[in-house]
Amino acid sequence: MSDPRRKSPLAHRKALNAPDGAVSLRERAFLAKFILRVSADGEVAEVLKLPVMANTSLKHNGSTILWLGPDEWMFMAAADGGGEMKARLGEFLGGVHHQLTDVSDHYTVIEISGRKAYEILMKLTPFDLHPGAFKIGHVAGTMFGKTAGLIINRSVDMPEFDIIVRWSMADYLWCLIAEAGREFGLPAQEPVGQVRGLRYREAS
Amino acid sequence: MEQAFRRARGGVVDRNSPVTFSFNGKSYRGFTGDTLASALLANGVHMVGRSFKYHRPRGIMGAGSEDPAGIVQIGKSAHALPNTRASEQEIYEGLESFAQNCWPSLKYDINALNDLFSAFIPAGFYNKTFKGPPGSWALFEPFIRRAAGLGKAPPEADPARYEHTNRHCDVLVIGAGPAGLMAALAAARAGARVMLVEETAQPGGRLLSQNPDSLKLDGKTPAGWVQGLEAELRGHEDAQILTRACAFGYYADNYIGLIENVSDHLPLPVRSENLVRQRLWHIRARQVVLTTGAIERPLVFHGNDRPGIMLASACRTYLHRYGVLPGKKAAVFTGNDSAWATAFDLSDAGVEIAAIVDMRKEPNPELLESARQRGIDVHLHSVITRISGRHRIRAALVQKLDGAGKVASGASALFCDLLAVSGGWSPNVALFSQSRGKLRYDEDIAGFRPGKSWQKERSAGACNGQYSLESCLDAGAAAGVEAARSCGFEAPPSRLPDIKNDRAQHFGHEAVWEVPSALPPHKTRAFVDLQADVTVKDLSLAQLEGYISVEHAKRYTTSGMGTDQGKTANMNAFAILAAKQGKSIPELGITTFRQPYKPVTMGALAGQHVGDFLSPRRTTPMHEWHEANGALFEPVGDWLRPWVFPQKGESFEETLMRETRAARSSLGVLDASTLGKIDVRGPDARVFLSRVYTNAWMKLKPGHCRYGLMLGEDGMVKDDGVTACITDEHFHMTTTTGGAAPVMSTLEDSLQTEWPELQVYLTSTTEQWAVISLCGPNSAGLAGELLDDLDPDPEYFPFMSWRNAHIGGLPVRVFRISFTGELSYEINIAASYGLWLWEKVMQEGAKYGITPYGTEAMHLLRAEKGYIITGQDTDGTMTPADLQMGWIVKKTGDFIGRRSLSMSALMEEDRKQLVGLLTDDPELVLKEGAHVIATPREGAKPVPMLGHVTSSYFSPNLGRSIAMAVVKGGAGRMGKPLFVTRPGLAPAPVKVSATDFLAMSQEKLP
Repeated sequence: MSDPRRKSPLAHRKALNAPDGAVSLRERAFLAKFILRVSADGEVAEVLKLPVMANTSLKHNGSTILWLGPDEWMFMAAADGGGEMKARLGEFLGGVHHQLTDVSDHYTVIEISGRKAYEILMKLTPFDLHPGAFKIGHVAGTMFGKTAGLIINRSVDMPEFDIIVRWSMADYLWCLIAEAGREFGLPAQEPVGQVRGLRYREAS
Repeated sequence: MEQAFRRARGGVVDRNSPVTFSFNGKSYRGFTGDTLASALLANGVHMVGRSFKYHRPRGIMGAGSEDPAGIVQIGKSAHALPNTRASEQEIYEGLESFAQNCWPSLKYDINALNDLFSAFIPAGFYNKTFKGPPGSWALFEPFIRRAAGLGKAPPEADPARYEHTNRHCDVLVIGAGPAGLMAALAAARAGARVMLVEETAQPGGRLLSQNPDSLKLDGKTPAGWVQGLEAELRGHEDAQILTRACAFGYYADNYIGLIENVSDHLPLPVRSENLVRQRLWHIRARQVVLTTGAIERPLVFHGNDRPGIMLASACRTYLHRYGVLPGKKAAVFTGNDSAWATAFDLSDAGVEIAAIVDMRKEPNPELLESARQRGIDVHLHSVITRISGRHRIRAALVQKLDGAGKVASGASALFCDLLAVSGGWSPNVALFSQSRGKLRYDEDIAGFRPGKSWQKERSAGACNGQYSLESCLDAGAAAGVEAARSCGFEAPPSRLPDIKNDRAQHFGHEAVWEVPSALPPHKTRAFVDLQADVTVKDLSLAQLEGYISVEHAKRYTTSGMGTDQGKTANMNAFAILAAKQGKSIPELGITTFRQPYKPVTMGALAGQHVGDFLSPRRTTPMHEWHEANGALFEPVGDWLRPWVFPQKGESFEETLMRETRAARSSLGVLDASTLGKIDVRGPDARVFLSRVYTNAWMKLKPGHCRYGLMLGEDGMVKDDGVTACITDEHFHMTTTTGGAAPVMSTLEDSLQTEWPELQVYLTSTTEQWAVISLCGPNSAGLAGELLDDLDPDPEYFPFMSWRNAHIGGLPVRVFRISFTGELSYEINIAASYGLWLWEKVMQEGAKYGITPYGTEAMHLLRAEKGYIITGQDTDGTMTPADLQMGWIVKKTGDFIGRRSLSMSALMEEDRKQLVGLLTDDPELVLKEGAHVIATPREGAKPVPMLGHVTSSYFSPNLGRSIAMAVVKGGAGRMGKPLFVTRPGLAPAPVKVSATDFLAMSQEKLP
């Protein structure tokens, strides 16, 4: 049970499901997320099981480690796993020059799954998400519409992707995905902060 | 009679599915699978509009996207689609279509008078009016605008949705004719990711225009054989066929733009809100196979623009693909072999052939024999010199050519309602040429064909000048295999179908670009471009007036500049221009093929990124509260920040005054979450900060904060913010809201490329933290009540320091920093607790009359203190010295921008410098942006300008107006009078002052 004082960026949205399992959308709120920046030289990569191949990820000790760059990784774990993960990493990294930053709230995760997930996502990104090119476990940082995001292919039996997106862009991306999924039965979603219903500073 | 021109059988239309549609208010019937053109022809309608300039009758001339003439308006009001090619628009139940550019009616059009005055509106008419006596354009414009043009733009906003999508593939095949089908299949069989795109509703291309009685592939009709291939292709998991999709742009790196029509062929009631109207595809292909076919050229002769004159190839398409007779009595006029097949097909379908008129002396004897067998009259070495029938051809005059190739005397009339013309074929090289491929002129086919490739593409079939069916199939299959192999697939050669063809294929021809006329040149009206109304005479005029370059001649005459991009006109125009200059065609050269190949709607180009999705609206964790509490919002970059929080019945000014007063007199609270935040860590962090900020960072102690300015390499202020020292190797940097992303990328770039030796890592944490800024004398009281374990008393927790603490057991970072000059506490908490803390702050602050304030009060409060806003008081041309902030530039040590600061131009004393302005009238609030001048009157223009007002407010706390301005030599003008211009009023007298108005108020402001 998470702290009732906590609120996720997409708390105001309900999970969406298109008919016949074509596509589903939900927020995976409060996942613990850390960005580790460290040189992969030496023992660090081996000890921490860092994926060193570009655009890949590894699962280790209940957390998923995403390659973000030659000296940059993201660790993702369950909401309550953050403290332990941070302590463990800190122990390993002790005297090594590194940066471990808590970004659990900087980002949230939107999960999109279902037969049409690929087709929908390709409306938003120029990156090739074809299963032959973007394989299970692959990771990429790219653009979705007008926001940047990280994507990881978590497919098991059914196509399933997580998009890791900044707090402030999460609602925009949620609605943009829903918009792209309308032809497969996702309901239209109105993004927050639109002119309708809100009052704006006038142009004059 | 209903569909009097529909053949009894044949075509790929669904005869069990009749469709009712209308043209110009009259109801007609057609079948599903018809285009508007084929359905109109089935009802005997040829004339569908009036031309752009002369309002001459225009009919259906082609059968696809090449048609220059058959352009109509589809639908009404918001759904209106002007300039739609009848030959491309599929009919649907209830479709309404209208003739364009005519009034009061298609047949009796007032502006047809233009035609009589055509001598007065020749090529370059606009050019000449522009250059004419002053005012002549203004005089003519309203008339020209009314008379010229095509369809009418819809009067309402477009209700349709559009979207973009992306695909990557190994092999992209453009055009699903015989070559394209073979190419796609060969590549798909090799296991490649293949996309086959087809402009029309179904694959088949020119195969569907062949006579199914005379042509069999593997024993099947052309349509049957195509179906088999299509089915096999669809069976390949990684092969995709897109129909109604036109590749309109070939860009660098095999990046291709495609416009797919998703809903335009569906009846309006059936169109789903959830389905877009059109989809724009961004395709990145490793290899491209161009199988875009060839376009038949019309002939250029006197009167060649009359409705009922049609491309020979289009006649065959209507005959076989749509099962429509384009006429009852036809003549064929040509200089090449392929048009003879049209005559034979028409004849076999029961159309009476008035004659075949061939400009050559000796066409292929086999053709002559076939004509003889069918009893068709043949006129060799003859031309058509005159057409009768205004709205539809009734007869054509045939005349012999003499030994010199001139029109001989003596003529005979051919009575016909259809004239099929062919001037040969042009390979459709538009996309190849867009890809930067070099064209080469081939005398054998009298046309340009692909030469040297630039990108990873190959052309196969008719677009490569390979016209026979066998060569198309063969070249297509080979291209598919090669493309797949280039992607690393093993591709076995494809088997070609067995072809049984009763019709011998001949492609002999003799190019005659300008058909000899029986009239003197000034009386001959031979159209080169039927859409832009360009005649041979116009081309001659361009030549006479010195427009020698083909690019100039094109623009001067507008030839090839219509919505059809001169698909049928260009080759003829180039050849005629070349002949007039006594040059060969390759010597003259051709105009550049540019994207788009055919018109693309603005809606499709915008895609889904419109309206609510035009740009992301970034909101803070507290947005919900702001919205519920009546905030007026201000967009700051992509962010949406509360601007003011008006209470019931309160004006904007009243709100602003109340918020500003509260923050100084009691307690104000601001959502400052949008500020950029960067975590900086590493043993060299201090060195790094010292290089990116102008001041010194080596001695800042943990627990303390410092303000810094960042400059660009040019020495100009780019961003500012406060950075806190967490530990000796760990800093928390803040940037402006708008500067967060550019600062982060500049810093990361500097680390990676300029100073790789520095051991520093950066991570953006902007949205990790919700930031609540308490401001005012009561902020310490509230902070004390909120914080579990920190005494906020300024005595122990001084200005420009920070502490770790807890609220409700949750970790927070509290910063004693201020953007107002007032006692302030900035509380940072993990964003997911931001709303909870804000609500708690509001609740517990109630006893102090806590007042939420927005960006406007924030701006006013900081102006009272004289703090700058980068981007408002700076504009990318201000150095620290210009801002009178020379104190923040350290004396020794390098930093970004240091060297530029010592450039003589940046050290001049007369540069614009930031100063305060106090109006003589304390109630007068200057306009931001107003010019600062030295004299009490504006005087003669241009008035010498000393600078401008950057920030201006009425300060309720100071009881008078305050302003900041950048003024030439401002630093040396302290206390001096200046003037600020006002529209319609005398300039306002002001006195130059320092910018810290708050400090001055203690010494009493004037």
